[in-house]
Amino acid sequence: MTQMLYGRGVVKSYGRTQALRGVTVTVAEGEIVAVTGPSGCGKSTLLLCLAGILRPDAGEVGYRERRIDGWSETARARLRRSDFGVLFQFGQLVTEMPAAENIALPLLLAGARRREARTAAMTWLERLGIAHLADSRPGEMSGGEQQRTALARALVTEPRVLFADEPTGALDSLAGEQVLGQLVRVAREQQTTVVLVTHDARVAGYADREIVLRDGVLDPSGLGLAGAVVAG
Amino acid sequence: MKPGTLLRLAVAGTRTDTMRIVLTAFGAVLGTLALLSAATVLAIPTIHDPAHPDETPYAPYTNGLLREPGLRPGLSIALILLTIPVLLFVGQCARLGAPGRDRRLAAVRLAGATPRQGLAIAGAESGVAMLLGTVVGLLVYLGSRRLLDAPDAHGLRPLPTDVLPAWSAIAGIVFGLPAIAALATAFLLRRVAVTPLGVARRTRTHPPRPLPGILIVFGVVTFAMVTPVARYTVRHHEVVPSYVLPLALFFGGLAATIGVVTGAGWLSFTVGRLLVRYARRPAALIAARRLQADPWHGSRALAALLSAAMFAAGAAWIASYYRTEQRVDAIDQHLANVAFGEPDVVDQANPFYLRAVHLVGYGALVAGLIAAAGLAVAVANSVVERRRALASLTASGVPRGVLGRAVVWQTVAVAVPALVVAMTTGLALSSGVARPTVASGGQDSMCTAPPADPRACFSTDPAAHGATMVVAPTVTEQVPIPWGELGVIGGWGLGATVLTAALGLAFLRASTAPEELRTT
Repeated sequence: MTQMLYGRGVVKSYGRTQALRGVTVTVAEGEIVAVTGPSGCGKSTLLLCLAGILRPDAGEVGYRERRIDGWSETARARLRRSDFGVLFQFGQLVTEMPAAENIALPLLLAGARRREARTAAMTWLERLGIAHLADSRPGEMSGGEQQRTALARALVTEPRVLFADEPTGALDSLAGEQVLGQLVRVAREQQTTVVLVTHDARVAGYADREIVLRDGVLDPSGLGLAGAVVAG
Repeated sequence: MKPGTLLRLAVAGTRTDTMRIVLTAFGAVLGTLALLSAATVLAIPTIHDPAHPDETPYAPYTNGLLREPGLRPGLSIALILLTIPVLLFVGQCARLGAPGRDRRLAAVRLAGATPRQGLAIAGAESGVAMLLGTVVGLLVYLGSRRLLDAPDAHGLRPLPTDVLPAWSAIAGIVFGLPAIAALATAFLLRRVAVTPLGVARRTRTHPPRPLPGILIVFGVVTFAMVTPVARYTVRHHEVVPSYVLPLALFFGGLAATIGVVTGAGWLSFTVGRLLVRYARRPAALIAARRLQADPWHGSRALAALLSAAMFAAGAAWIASYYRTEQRVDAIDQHLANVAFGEPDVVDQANPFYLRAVHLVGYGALVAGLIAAAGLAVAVANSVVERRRALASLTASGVPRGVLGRAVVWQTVAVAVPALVVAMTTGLALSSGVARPTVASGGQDSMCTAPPADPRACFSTDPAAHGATMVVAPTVTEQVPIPWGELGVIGGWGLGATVLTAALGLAFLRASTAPEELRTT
């Protein structure tokens, strides 16, 4: 398979705390990879570095054979807008805007016409079964509905890579299953590469492959959460 | 990003954001009115008939300040200076709902906005509100011109409602103010990094230093140099370019104002440190720690009030100087009349300059009112911003009274010394240009020649030729410190501070409700 993303010897520190200590990973095109490990092991930091949101202190991050860690913040923001989608646990929606506008936002920021952006947003709302929420604001939705709206926003630009950081962490198990099921279904349909950070064994079970981190480095044993579930 | 998208994102927000837009627009209305008034005064023609410039100055007004062409630039500058507290008020309003706005900007960045687009949205938020205000301000101005245009029987008007500034000047004000506001927002965001993960502010880690004292001293020394330099140039027949004096006064005044305003930050920190050491009650301790944690809050909140107090104190000194001068002139005339045996008639003093100074005082009062409104916004916002923490404290058993007293302590403990510094600086600046000692007389004399030598008075030494010399005595008087007026200014400033702190208490009750624990 073609290599889509890579990180080589990625190092990242927050003050004196070293979150990543030379992590090397590759993600193939269309692959769904789960990044797992205990709290504070550097999972989210690795995702943020691969997505170009954080710049690593050392090492390389690349996308489709192009090294992106040296790019300016503006160039990385444009790349995220055109090729990447990002889904967090919470806090990603503009609470003052209704769902349809939230979903249309990446297209509007890229210069699309309002009507085109609205049409695309409605398509995604219908695809994820939440068309009735088009004019609802995030405060009027349940956690699961908010997360599906955020998923629609992450996918509206038809990204090549979707980064999801604990996408079901704030949801109950049923809502979490629904969101994850839709995420994986759409990713498979569109051949979207997914990097999924989780500490939940059931979530990790949806992935093709699991990368296990421990104390900022890859766990050499490679025994991840999905394996633990199987073993259990 | 299309302009429509930028506009939509600029006006997206909650009720707090709507309140911010309304208050910012209100400030813009006041600023527009002040600037348009200044432009109107400057637009008054100097001469009535260009063919006979010396015969007919254009002055169809009842007000002396408008009639005299030489005073119009000064009046315009005073009106332009009124925009300073207005802009500080707008700056204070811009902080309303800052946490929500930070969250919104981060969410927009996560949706794919570039840093520049984030900056454009933040700038547009201020610019749109200001544009709304300047347009309303223009409409109010145009409407007021018609309503206030009331010439008397002689065709004299109280205000220059018969002239209109050039449309280019009007357009410059209506579109320039929002542009300045947008640029100022971008400048203020230089310490802020809006990332998809949130908004990070580079905070100042070092405590405030007493450097503002240097600025105050620079301003006072600059003003104090005015009279000696003027004397020196007269004595040595030197010619100083006409722009030097206004520039020196402007930069000296600006330095002192910045010194007083930023000095409030150092005062906050120092008062906090002293309170931590000596306070024994919880309210004072909470206030002390907050003063130390964010010493610049007092500086921001009190900036306009301190500037107004400084100018008011300066105007009070100048008024005291003119009153002393009038008194000394009257005594001098009286003594000269007695000495020369003339009828004791004293000329009536010209009240023009004293009235002009009183007008500056009224201007400072208006500025103070605007400043108090800004302070009220700052205090209320500081309570509302911390509502979750305050609700947690109340839920854990801290009485509301303690939190209320902490708010009052935090505001008043800084305001008292800061007002003293501001008023002292105002006095020191004014006493540089209006010296503390007024002297008159000592030059007029009367010579009576003896019958034996009728031409004795025309000699180089009349006394040696037997003439009787009577010299009018020199009258010298110290300009009294206007304690009464200073008391009124200080009391007014302190009263405004206490009132605004009380307004903060009104918000405190709602902000400490248990429901606020769920605030995000």
